[in-house]
Amino acid sequence: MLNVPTPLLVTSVTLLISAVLCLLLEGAGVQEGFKKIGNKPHIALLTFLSIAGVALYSLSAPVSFSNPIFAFDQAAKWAIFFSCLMALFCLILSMLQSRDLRQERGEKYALLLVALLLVIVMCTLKDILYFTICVSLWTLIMMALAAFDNYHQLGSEVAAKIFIKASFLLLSMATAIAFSYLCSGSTQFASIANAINDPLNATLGKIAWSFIWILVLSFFDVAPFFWFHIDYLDGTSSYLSTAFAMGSFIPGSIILLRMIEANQIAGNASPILLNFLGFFAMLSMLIPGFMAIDQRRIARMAVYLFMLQPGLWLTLTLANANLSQATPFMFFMFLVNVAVAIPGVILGLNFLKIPAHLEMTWEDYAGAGRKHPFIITAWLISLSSLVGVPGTLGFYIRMSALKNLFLNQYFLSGIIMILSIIIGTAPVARLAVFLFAKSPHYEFSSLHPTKHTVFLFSCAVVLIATGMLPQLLWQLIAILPNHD
Amino acid sequence: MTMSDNNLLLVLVIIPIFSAIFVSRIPHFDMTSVRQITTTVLTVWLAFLLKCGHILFSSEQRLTWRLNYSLWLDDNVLDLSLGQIQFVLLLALWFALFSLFFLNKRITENKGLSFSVIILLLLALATLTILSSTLAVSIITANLSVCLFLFLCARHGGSEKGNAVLVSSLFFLTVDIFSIAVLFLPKSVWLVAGYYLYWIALAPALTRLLIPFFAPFSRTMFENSSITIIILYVAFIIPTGAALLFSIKNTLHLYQPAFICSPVVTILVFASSFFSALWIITEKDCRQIGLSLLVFYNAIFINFVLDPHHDASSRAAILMLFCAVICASFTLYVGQLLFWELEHELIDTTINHLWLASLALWFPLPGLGIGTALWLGYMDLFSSTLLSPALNISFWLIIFLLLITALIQNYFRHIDPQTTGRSLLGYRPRKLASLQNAWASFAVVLLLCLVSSTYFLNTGA
Repeated sequence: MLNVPTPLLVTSVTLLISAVLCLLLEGAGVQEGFKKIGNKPHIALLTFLSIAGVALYSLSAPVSFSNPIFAFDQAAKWAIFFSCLMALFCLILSMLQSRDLRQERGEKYALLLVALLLVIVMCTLKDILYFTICVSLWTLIMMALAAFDNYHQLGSEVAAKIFIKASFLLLSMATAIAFSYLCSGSTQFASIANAINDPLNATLGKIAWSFIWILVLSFFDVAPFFWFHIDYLDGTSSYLSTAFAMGSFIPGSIILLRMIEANQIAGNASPILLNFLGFFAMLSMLIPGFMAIDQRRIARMAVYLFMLQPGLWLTLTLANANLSQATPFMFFMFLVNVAVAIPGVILGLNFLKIPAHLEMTWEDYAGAGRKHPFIITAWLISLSSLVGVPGTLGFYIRMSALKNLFLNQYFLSGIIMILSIIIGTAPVARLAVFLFAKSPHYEFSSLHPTKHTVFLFSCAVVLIATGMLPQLLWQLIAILPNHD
Repeated sequence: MTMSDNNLLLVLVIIPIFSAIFVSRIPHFDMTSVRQITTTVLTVWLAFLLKCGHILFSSEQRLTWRLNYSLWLDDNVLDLSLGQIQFVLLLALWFALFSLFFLNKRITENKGLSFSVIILLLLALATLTILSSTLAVSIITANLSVCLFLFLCARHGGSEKGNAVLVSSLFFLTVDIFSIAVLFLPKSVWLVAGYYLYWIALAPALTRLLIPFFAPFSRTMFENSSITIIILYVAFIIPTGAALLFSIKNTLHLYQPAFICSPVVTILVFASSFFSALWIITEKDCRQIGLSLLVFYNAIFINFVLDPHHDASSRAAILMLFCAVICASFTLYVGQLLFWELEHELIDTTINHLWLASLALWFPLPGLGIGTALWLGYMDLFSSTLLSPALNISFWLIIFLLLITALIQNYFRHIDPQTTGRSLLGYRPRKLASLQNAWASFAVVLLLCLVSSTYFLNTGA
C-alpha cells in the first residue's frame, strides 16, 4: 500500500480538485445560465488561489521522514513552495500574453495544475519507478501545451522534438528500472545504492546506477543533454517556458540531492563518481556561456544562460564534501535564484513592443534602455543574477561554492567557476551596451501597462536584496512554523 | 567620540543614495532643480566629511561603524572605518568632483538626468569602497563603481566606444573576481605560491591606478572622450584604486616577504613612469595630458606604498596622491578650455597662461604643486634596495628629465606665440567668462598642496 505523507496528499488532492473544477467550469461556461460563473477570469482566479494556497501550506506543513518512497523534508517543502511561485509567474505571463482572456482555453489551466501536481510529487520522490511515471506524464502535458500553443508558430515542431527526447528518456529509464529490479529487487535510490556494496549484485547495481545518473542529468538539463530543452524554452510562449523551467530545474535539483545522499549513506562516495559528476558540472558551467555569446536572438541567448543553473547546482553539491555543510541554506538560495531570476528574464523579454517582422536580435534591442531605463535595468539585474555578476544573488551563490571548492582542494573546478562567471557576463555586458549606449532604430513602447512591470521590478529587488543580505532572509524563514 | 559620531560614516554613504533616488524622480524638463540638488548634496557631503575629519584629528582615533549582518560572503560584515588615509582619499574625490560641478556650471543641463543620478550613486559606491575595512566588500563595490563609470563612458563618452567599454568591463571583472578568489585559498596554498597570489590579489588596485599601462584598450576608451569622463575617472577610480592598494597591503601583510616585492615594484614603477613620460611626449590631445601626468605620479605612489622597507612613507604617498588628483583635475579643466580655444581658432593669452600654470604644477620642484608632497618622500624614492644608489638615482633623473622635457614640449605644442588677440568669432564667448574661476581654482590648488604638506611636516612621519 502506498503510504503517502499527509502534506503531500493534501497538496495533491487540492490541485487535482482545482483541475477538475477548471474543466467543469470550462464546460459549464458554454451553457446558457452558467456563462457568468464559468468565464475564463474565474477559472484563472481559481487556479491562482489554489496554487497560492498550496504554496503557503507547504511552508508551514510538518516534515515527514519515515516513508521509503516519499520524503517530505525541508528541502521538499522549499522546492514545492518555489515551484508554486514559478507556477504563479506562469499564470501572470499567460494573462499578460493573452489578448483577450475570455478567448483562452480553460483546459490550459487544468493542464498547468496537473503539471504542477506532478512537479510537487517529483520533489518528494526517492524512487526511480514513480519518478519515471511522473516524468512521462509531465512530458505529455508539456507536449500538449506546446502543440496547442496558438501564439507561437513553432509549437508543433517543439512538441515533436520533446516527444523524441521523452521517448529516449523513457526507454532508458525502463532499462534502468529493469536493472534495478535485477540487482536490488527494488527501485528505491537507497536500495540501488546499497546493491553496489553487495559483491553478487555489484556489476548490475553499477550499471543501473550509472543509467539513472545519466538520465537524471539529462532531465536536469545538464550539458550536453539540454539541446531539445533549448528549443522548448525558446520556441514556445513565455508562460510555457517558465512552466518547463519549473518542471526541469527544481525537481531535477532535488532528485540529484537525494541520489547523492543515498550514495553517501550507502558509503559509495567514490572518487570515480565525484569525477564523473565534476566533469558534467564543468561542461555545464562553460558550454552554455560560450553558446550564449554566439546567439543572434536575445531570447535564445537568455535561454542558454538559464542552462548555467544546473551546472551551478551540480558544482554546489560537489563542493560540499560533507553534505551537512550548509547544503540546506545553499539549496534555498539556489531555488530563490532559479524561481525569481528566470521569470524575471522572461518577463523582461515580453516587456517591449517590437515590430512583428523583427527577430529580436541584438540590433533590434539597441537603445531600448534609453526609453525605459528602470525596467531595462531591472531586466539586466535578473540576467546578471543568472550569470553571477557581483552584487546579485547569483554571485553570492558562486562565491560560496568557490570557498568550499578551494577548502576541499578542488582548484580546477574553482577556476572553471570563475571562468563561467566571466564567460556568462560577456553576453550580458554586450546586451547592456546595446541597450544603453546605442541609438534606437525603432520606437519602443511598453507591451504591458505599468502596473504589470511591478513584477519585473520586484524580481530585481529580491535578487539584489538577497544577494546583499542572504543571512537576513534565512533568519526570516526560520520564524516559520515547522522549520528546522 | 560618541556613537553618533560613528554614525556619520553611514551618513556619508546614505546621503548620495537617497539623493540619487530623489533626483531620479525629478521631471526631465527641470534640470535646474537637478543641478541645484546635486551641488547641494555635494556641499552637504563635504560638510559631513569635514566634520568626520575634525573628530578624527582631534580625538586621534579612527571612526568605525559596523553592520551586524553578514554581507555577501558568509563571515564578512560591513565594517566602515575612517582613518587619515581614507579622509584624504575622500577629500581628493570631492575636489575632483568640485572641478566638474562647480567650475562647469552647465554640465548637468548638458548631460541630462541620468548623469546626475549615476554620479550620486558612484559617490556612494566609492565612499563605501574607501571606508570598508573588509577587503572583499571593497573589491565588489569597486567593481560596481567601474561598471557604472563604464556605463557613463558608453553613454556620454562619444561614439565608437562600445567595444572598448565591453572589453574594459570584462577585464575589470576578471581581475576583481580572481582577486577575491585568491583570498579564499587556504593558507597552505599561500605558503607555497604566495608570490604569485600576492600579485593577483594586488591586480585590482594596480589596474585602476595604472590603467593605460595595464589595459592597452583604455587608450581607445579615453581617446576623443570629453573631459567629463576623464575627470570622473580621476574622481572615482583613482581614489578607490588607492584605497584597494592600502587595504590589500594591510590584509595580506603576512604574505608580503620583504625580499620578494622590491624588484617587481621597482621594475613596475620604472616601466610605468617611462611609459607615461613617453605618452605625454607623443600625445597630441591636450585634454589627455592631465591623465598621463597623473598616471606618472601614480607609479611613484605605488612605489612608496608597496616598498616594504619604507613603511613610514605611506603618509607622504597619500599626500602626493591627493596633490596629484587635485592638480590633475585642474589640468584637465584647463585642457578642456585650451582644446575649445584651439578648436575655434580663438587665441586667448589668459588660457595660455593658465595652461602654463597647470603644467607648472607638475614640475617636481619643492613648494610648487605636486613637488610639495613629492619632495617629502624623495629620499625614499632614491634609496632602492634593488639597484645601487648611483644607478637608482640615474634612472630617476632620466625619467624626471623626460618628464620636464615632456611638460615644456606640451606647452609649446599647444601655444602659438605668433598670433595674439586674433579671433575669428568676433565676440567673447560665454565659456571664457569662467577664467576668473579657473585662476581662483589654481590658487586653491597651490594652497591645498602647501597646507597638506605643511601639516605632514608638522606632525611628522
